[in-house]
Amino acid sequence: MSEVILRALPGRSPGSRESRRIRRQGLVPAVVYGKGVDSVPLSIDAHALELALHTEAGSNAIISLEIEGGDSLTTMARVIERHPFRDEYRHVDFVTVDLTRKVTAEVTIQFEGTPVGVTEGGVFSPRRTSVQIEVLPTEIPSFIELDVSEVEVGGSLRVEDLPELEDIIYLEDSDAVIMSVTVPAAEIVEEPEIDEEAELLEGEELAEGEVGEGAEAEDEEEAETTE
Amino acid sequence: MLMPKRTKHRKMHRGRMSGVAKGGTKVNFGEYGLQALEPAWITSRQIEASRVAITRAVKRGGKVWITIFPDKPVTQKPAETRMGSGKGNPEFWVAVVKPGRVMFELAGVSEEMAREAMRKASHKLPIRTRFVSREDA
Repeated sequence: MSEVILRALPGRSPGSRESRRIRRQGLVPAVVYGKGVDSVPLSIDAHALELALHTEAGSNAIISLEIEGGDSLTTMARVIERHPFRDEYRHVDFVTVDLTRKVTAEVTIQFEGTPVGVTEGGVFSPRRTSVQIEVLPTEIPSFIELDVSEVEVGGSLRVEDLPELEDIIYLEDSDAVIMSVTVPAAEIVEEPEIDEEAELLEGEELAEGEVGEGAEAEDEEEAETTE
Repeated sequence: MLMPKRTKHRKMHRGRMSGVAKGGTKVNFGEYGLQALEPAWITSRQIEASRVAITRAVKRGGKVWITIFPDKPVTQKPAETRMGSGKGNPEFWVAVVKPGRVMFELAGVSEEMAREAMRKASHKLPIRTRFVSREDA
């Protein structure tokens, strides 16, 4: 995995007011810390950060943080805070890493193929799209492929079904379900157009307090489609 | 329609809707979602109308999650009533939605179909929304 170089400015004052001022200038407040490294508040160019976190490695990229007038640290972005609805970063925590020691990382699972169950009419339901692994920082895969083509309706794949990869330990419960193919919800039948006059006549025939069958059936149909 | 089974109090203060959503801003259950961009009270009728729009758009297949719940009662005084004589009667239920909140989630369909379903659902809501997927929300 290649290293991404990111330049950072030190000397940021802490506090929300200062952070807001920094964000207005197109920078993102950040902090770097780790084993044997004092916590240093930083500010990073928002566009450069966006590019650094959107490489093939995603948020697991090894970032060489070049602090202006200081050291260069090998880090990984660990806590990434984003704005609730704008596509912008609000704060990032960088943690220094030792390239010879294993770290935990969240890697996305890429589903390969179309399940047999889906071709038979089932619904593909992914339960989790990422998995926690323990691995050397340089060996973190961009994604883990999982072949789902043989899953039938009612079948599922668990963490234990993930491919065994060299030097990678899965940290999740081996029984945890990753994906399943479920029975589809009932199909919605278009309501037939009823002649208003005919409906009125039918309504008159019904005794007081009696409910027409059509109304009940309609409710049931709607309830079935909830899932 | 969605509403609480039982509540501790029948009536509630109106409250404020300032700020952005603190939680529920990411797609957690499905693959795609519909995110609010404005604050609003979303009524149980609007939630139900959106749900029906989504399920009809995806025909069969796909799984829908509703990630908001109308737990706030709204009262109204009867028409042509003089002011006073206490608070009105509970008439409907609303969910307080703040910007950033993911309201509906969808899985098991193509992105194209999910976009169309969410577009139809957004027409049933009184606010601006945007389509989000698991990667970008």
